This record gives sequence, C-alpha cells and structure tokens, in this order.
Amino acid sequence: MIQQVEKAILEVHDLSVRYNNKTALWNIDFTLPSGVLAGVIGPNGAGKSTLIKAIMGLVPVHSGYVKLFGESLSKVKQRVAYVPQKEEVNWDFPITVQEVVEMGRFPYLGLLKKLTPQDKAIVSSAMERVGIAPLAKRQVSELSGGQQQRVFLARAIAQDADIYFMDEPFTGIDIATEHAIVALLKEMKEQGKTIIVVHHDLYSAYEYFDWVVLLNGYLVASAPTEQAFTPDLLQKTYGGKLTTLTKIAHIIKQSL
Amino acid sequence: MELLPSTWYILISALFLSVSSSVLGSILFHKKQALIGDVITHAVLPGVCIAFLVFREKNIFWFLVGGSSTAMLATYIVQYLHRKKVLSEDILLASTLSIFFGIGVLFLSYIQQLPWGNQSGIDRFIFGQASTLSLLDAQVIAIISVAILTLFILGFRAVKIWVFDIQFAGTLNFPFKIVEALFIVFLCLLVMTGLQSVGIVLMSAMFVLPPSIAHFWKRSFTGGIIVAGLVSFVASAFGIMLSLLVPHIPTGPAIVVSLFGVLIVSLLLGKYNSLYSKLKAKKRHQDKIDEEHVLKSLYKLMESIKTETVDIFALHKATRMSFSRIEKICKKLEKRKLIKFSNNKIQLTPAGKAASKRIVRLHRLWELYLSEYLQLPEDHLHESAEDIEHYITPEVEAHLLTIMNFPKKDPHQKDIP
Repeated sequence: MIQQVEKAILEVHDLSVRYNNKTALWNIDFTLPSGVLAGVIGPNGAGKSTLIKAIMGLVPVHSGYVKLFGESLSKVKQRVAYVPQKEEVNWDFPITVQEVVEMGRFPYLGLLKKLTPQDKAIVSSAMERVGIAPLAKRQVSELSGGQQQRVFLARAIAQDADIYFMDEPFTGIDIATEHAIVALLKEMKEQGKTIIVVHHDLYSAYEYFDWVVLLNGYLVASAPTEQAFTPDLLQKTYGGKLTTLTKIAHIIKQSL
Repeated sequence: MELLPSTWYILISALFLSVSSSVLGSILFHKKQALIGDVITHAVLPGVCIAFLVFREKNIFWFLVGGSSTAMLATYIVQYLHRKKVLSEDILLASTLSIFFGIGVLFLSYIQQLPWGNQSGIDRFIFGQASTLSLLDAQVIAIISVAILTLFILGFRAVKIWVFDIQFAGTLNFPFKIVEALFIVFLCLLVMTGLQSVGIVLMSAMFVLPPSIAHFWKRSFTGGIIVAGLVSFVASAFGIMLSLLVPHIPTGPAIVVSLFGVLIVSLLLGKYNSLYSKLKAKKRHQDKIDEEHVLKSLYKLMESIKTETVDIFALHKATRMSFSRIEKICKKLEKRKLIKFSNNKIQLTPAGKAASKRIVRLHRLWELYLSEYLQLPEDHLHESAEDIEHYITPEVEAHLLTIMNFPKKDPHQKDIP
C-alpha cells in the first residue's frame, strides 16, 4: 500500500542506506503531500531514525536520492527543520533555554547579525507556545526530559521552516506533555506546515497522524492512516523481519 | 628583584598562551574530547624532530609546519580508523599518542648523539624552559593567540551550536566541517607555540586543567573560559618565575604543579560539585529530615495525649534521637519561630503547628497513595512514607490531593490533617 502523490513536498526515491556495513534501509520509495502530520512507524531497528537522518543528509546514502520541494536538500535547507533525538545532544553543556531557542534563528542571522526585535519576538513566542517561557534563563541541564523536549520544539518553531522532521519527540516524557506536543503539532499543521515524526507506539499513532509511513527495514506502506492501518500491513510491519533481507544483510556485512 | 626585559615578554606570551589554550581547552572539555588534546601534544614531537633534522636549526616556522603536520596526521588517523570501526575510540587514541610519541623520542635521541645536535636544546621541548623563549617565539605566540581569539569571537554562535548539538548543526546551511577543521588546526598550532615555555607534552594540561578548575566555580561557557584563562595565567606566571629563579626547574612541570594546587583547592571547596558543597548539601538535607522528624513527633504526641506541651523526654522516646541533638534542633526551630522552648518543655507556635501538620499530612497522603495506587499491604506503608515525606514538594502535594480527591483518612484510618 504505497500511495504516491502529485506535487509531493517530499520525495524519497529508491533510497538505500548502508552504514558500518549494515544495511539499514532497503529501496525506500515514497512521496508525501504537503500539509500532513505524518508518522514514521515501525518496530525497534526498523530504520525509522535512519530514514529521517538520511533525508537530512546526516548519514551517507548508499543509493537513491531525496528531494524536498522538488529540489535537493542543499538548496532548501532554510525551509527544513530537524529535531534530533534527545539522547544525541550534549545536555551537560552550560547553555540557557533561551540560547537554545535562539539557535533556531541561526539560519536567518548567520554568525554575526544581531537578533532583531522581530527575531526576539519569534523566540519568545516560540517559548510561550510550548510553555517554557518561565524557564528561559534556566540551564538546559537542570530541566526534566519533558521540558528538554519542549525546548527542542521551541527551537524548531523559531526556525520557522515549512517542513519539520522530529526524531522520537515522545520518548521519556509524561503523557500530559505528549498530548500538549501533539496539540501543538496539529496546530502547526493547520498553519500549513508539514511535519514528519518518528514514533514507535502503534496505538497512539492512529490518533495522532493523518498519514503514516510503515517501516520495517523496507517500506511496508505510505498512505493516509485509515488506509495503512490494516491487519495485514501491521502484521508485515511488526511481525518480524523479512528472513531473506536479514540473510542478505548478513552476507553483505560479512563480505565488506 | 628586577625583571629583565625578556621576563616581560615571557610573561606576556604566557598570558596569550593561557587565554587561548583555555578557549580551545574549554571546547575540548565540553565536547568531552580531552584525549584529542593529548594525542596532539604527543604527536607534534616527531614532526618537530624531522623539521630539525631537515633544516639543522631551531626555526620556529619549520617547527610549526613539521609539528602541526604530524599532529594533524595523528588526529586524522584516529578519526579515519574510528569511522572504519577497526578498533574502539579509546584504544585508538591511547595507541596513537604513544606510538607517535615513541617515534618522536627515537628521533630525539638520534639528534642528541649527532655532533651538531647536542647543543640544540631540543630536548627542552618536552618539558619546556621558558628562559629559552626568544622575542620571535613570543611574537608567534601572540599572532596565533590573537587569531584563535578572533575566530572564536566571530564564530561564537556557530561554536555553541556545534558543541551543544552536532546533529542539528549538520542540518544547518553552514559549513560546520570548516569549524571542526579550524579547531584541530589551531589546536596543533597552539601546542607548537607552547613548546618553548610549557613543553609539548604538558601542553595537554593547559587544555584540561584550567577548564576543569573553572567548572567548580562558574556555570557558563564564557564565564568558565574567563576563569580558566585567569587561573591558567596565574599558574603559568608562577611556574615561569619559579623556573627562571631556581636553576634546573623546568617550566612545564612547575606550571602543572601550580595548576594542580588550584585544582585541589577547587575540588575541595569550589562553589559547584566540590566535595565540600556535596557534604554541605548532604548535611543540610539530614538537618531538614531531623527537623521535620521532630516536628512530626511533636504533632503526633500532642495528637495522642491531647496536650499543648511536650517535654523533651517524651520527644527523646518518640524520636530516638540523642538529647543533645534534640536540643540543637529545638533551638533552631525556636529561632525560626516554629516552637517555644524553655525548661525542657516544648510548645508549638501557630506556624509550627501548620508546619508539623504538613509533614503528618504528607506522610499519611503518601501511605494512602501507596496503598491505593501500588496496592501495598498496610504493614508496607510506613517505612516508605517516613522517607518520601521529606521529598514531597507543594506541587506534588497538590497533585496527590487532586488525584485522590482530597481524602480524609489514611489507610490506618487516621485523620489526614
């Protein structure tokens, strides 16, 4: 069930990723319409994070290509925002919440331009929207996991991009924060943003997303949630790896 | 004591070296890559020796070129092999630094038995001898330091992103690869400039120790760098003067030992994370627990025997604390106007009543929570509540009250006050 769309905002074309000799993704090929809140869903080790890292150019691509807004990433970086996994960040670094959110303005300011009153307004309204404005002067190392996640979200909002990629924004946070973030993502979608979220929980995925990309090393489905959530496709996604792919991946690893 | 003109420029170049090595060292410190500094400081030696063998003289420019080349080669080898996953990173770092240094020392002993090599003083490069610093050397230190500081200030915004969140950096439209490359290049150059005064090997201490010391005193990136630079300069000046005044004391070790002294003091007495601050926090916490324990016992005694005054013996029996400890706590509580305390008799003030009531409430609330939400049997509740009651903040208290719908009785059918 792979539903291709006209005028795609994101096109992943026959993408394979192999790193450290491990084949993480097999021939992923799908397109996303603009203005969706999409979930990348799959079990552990399905290559969900790898997929969005490959899209963002953070891991080398073995074959295939990615187009955003019909262009290669390097031409449209300004319009794309990425929220990394919480664990991949150096939280011990002494930096305040506000400084992190201000990083979102870096694409507009570069190294030297001062923050204009407009930039400052964008930064503070981003903090307001995720409810961390009272924490602006706090060190990020002192925050709880949920608060740290909100800081990241505020930074992404301050980036004012058109398409957002978020890697597991719901891990290690309480359910109230999760719901608040989902509400915010839906709000951003209403404003015409496209949001792609890596998520591992099948049950909440059905509620949260209007489009899902089901992944299990290969692409199982890419379609509106209603159509993709069939017993057959979910079985393919979560019912263990394809034996042939696993075997080939093992042979590739041995021979490189 | 009169300072020679040379002493002045030696000291000024120590200031430059201290500040710039603190900048780069703080980045290493926050990126948790202190060992990269070690690899570089060890790996410049073969390059310096090769430059000396080729040009047969001490020439600072050729030394810079030679030393930096082998150091960059070493870091490149580490990064390449790490990427290829042939060995784990710690093994790669440790083996590269010792191999390069070993090769360097072999070259060095070869140079020393050459007829023209012995007077070169090249062996001083290992541990440093500030008195051998020439005006030209001082100028090179100044130029490289100014370049580092300028780049750091201009690139400050990018450096922060790069140190804090390298994944995010990778998605921005900015050449962070160049930031990384410049960082390594200037690390190598700075190590080379430090070779006269500190010595190459101990330059790694100039990277690691000042930021570590600053970490005990300042919790901001720039503040930490300023403290580190200052401490580093004072220690360097001390080490340099010592080695200038006392014959046969090499400068590098004198600086390192001074830094070590400051580190010990900071580690024991620093503002953040020091042993003293940890002990103090622990004692403050224990005091709080004991005070709350006394208050709670007072409340319970008054609740059970329906009286307004409790004597210290009853309290001793209830709390099982020593008399002297009880007396100390009671005096503290009296100071805070929570109790009246005279003739070994204790009365709760209105504020004290509220405070003691709160502890009992938290205790019983927690017992109720455990029994309702964790389905623990009645005899498993008390011990945990004795502990947790001291940690419940007003927010958690409000939360507990809400989720249990403002309960009136605890699991033992006692009132929740």
